[in-house]
Amino acid sequence: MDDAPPLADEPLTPLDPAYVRLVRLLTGIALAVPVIAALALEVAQLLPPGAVAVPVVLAAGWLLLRLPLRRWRARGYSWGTDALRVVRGLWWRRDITVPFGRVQHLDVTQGPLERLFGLGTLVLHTAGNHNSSVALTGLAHGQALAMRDAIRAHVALHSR
Amino acid sequence: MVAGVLASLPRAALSIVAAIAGARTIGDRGIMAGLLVVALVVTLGWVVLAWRHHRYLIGPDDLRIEQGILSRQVRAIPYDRIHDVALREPLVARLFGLAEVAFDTGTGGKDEAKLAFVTRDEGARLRDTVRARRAGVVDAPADATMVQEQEVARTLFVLTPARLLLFGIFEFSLVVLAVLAGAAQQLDFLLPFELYDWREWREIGGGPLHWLLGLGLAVQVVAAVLGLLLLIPVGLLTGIVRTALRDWGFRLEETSRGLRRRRGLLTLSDVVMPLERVQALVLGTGLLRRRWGWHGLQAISLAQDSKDQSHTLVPFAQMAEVAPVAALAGLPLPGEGQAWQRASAGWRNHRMVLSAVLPGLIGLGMLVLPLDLPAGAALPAAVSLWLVAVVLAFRQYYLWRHNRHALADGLLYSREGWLSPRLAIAAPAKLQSAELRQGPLARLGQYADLHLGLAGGTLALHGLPVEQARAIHSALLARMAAVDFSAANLHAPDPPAT
Repeated sequence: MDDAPPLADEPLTPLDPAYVRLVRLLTGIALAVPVIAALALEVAQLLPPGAVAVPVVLAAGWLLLRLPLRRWRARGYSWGTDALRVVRGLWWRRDITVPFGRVQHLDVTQGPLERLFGLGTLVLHTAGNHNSSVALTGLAHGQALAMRDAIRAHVALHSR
Repeated sequence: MVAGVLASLPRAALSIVAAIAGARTIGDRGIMAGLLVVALVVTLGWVVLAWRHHRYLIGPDDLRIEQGILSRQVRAIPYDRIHDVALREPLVARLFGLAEVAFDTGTGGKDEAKLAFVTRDEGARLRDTVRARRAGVVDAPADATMVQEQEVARTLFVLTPARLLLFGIFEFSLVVLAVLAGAAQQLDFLLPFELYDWREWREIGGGPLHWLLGLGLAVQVVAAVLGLLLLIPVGLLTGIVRTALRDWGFRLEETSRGLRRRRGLLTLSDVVMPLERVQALVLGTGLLRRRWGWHGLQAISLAQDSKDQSHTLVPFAQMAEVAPVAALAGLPLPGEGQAWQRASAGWRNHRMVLSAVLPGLIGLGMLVLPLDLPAGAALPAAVSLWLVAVVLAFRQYYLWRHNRHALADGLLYSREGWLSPRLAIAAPAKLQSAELRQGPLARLGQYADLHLGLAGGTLALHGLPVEQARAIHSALLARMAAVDFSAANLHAPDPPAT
């Protein structure tokens, strides 16, 4: 439209800090199974003591500490005048931009764990086959609602 | 009414077939026959009831369709939500002079509103009435015999029978053998011999086969080759028949409402695709037909079409015949002097290595690992696997050489494929989202993939150098943002000149 700087150059807004705690909880739940299995093997004394349990517990501990923070840092979003840019991915980095004019409809969802931390997910639906739904997780619930209303207002303003 | 019911029967055939299949396991003939009769009666009764409960009403603002026996469904479609009305005439319906009316409401084929089997005249009347109501002629009488707007239709492309034959030849297909094999397996209880017992096959061969076996290896080889050669006429015939059934009388016209396409031999299909619904065009070709310059043009569109058929605009034509159609859709073919760009060399190198690594490693493993292979087989096997690796690597190289893209005159062109290349032409204004993707290797090699959201299809540019990817990404976003399709993406009139 006007000569606004391209969205790609703008700095990313980081996600809500509570997201780190949410990811830590999810990682903990996911790691519980291998850790319990390793401890069970240890108790059953099938292998030399400490051969399995020690590396597994150490790896789980390292992941629990490092992964949430790294993921939080890798994600972000950028709110432009007429588009929303969502960035995610540690290894496979995905940088998705959806102009507001292309949003078919919007959802704000809150899973049970997200509700615990006061977070929400904003989901944009487009008409494309690829990226038909773009989800932005890790927003504060109130902020997600505010963004949803802002996009709706933008759409209403510019619709013919 | 009888005609409508009879025309609906093919759909009910599945339940009858299931009843037959289930019944044949019961030994007693009497019970079998009885069950069959019951199944037939129930199915017929259901079809009749369903037909009686399927009704429609042309209201002042909307079209109402009622259907369903147990769970009744009333659908009200406002006229301005109906983009167009398509008429389809399956063979059975055509014999009785009936047609199926499908209302294109922009849902892209899911949950479409259909009226199965009204008379052909009624179908045409419905189409005219809906168009009239849409055009805002509110007082249009329900029987809109006056609505013959002077439809000036310009013919864009016609598939003559001679060319249809040539097309059919290029569509060589051995699918009939697969169908026969599948049928033989399913219905083996009907065949007079055991399908999988090779001794039975030998019995059938019998005398001639013994004579052949007695003649020696050379003759057997010749006989086998002749047998394979027999497949050629079978394949040609299948291709021609399938193409004729699908594309007989193919006709593409430009009308005031969009591109109108008619085709079909047994099932006549008549569809209008509004031009603004065309999201992108794809120009395809085949391995052989490319030598003679034959191409096909398809549209990527949200317009509704019969579920298993694509939006083919021009099935089989020379480039000079395709160009005007593409230009009409606002997505002209690239010119001769177009400046193309290639993917990154780093991407090419990574792809070459990745494609060769697996066969190479397996070959190495065969040589090095202590496997239980017959003596002297390890080396030839390893060498052939390495040759495979080299071939795959070179294929990636040629793909890199032939893939190209360009962003010019406000259009995005992307060509992919080596032996039968496929050219996609998209207008940035029609794109839905833009994504830059980089995997760990991509970050190492300084390249990125650009994935574009397109309604009804896919478009992606792979392995672009990072700077170029970002530049194209920003340019596309600038054009996308300039045109706002907020309200009913699919209704948008021509975008304002930017």
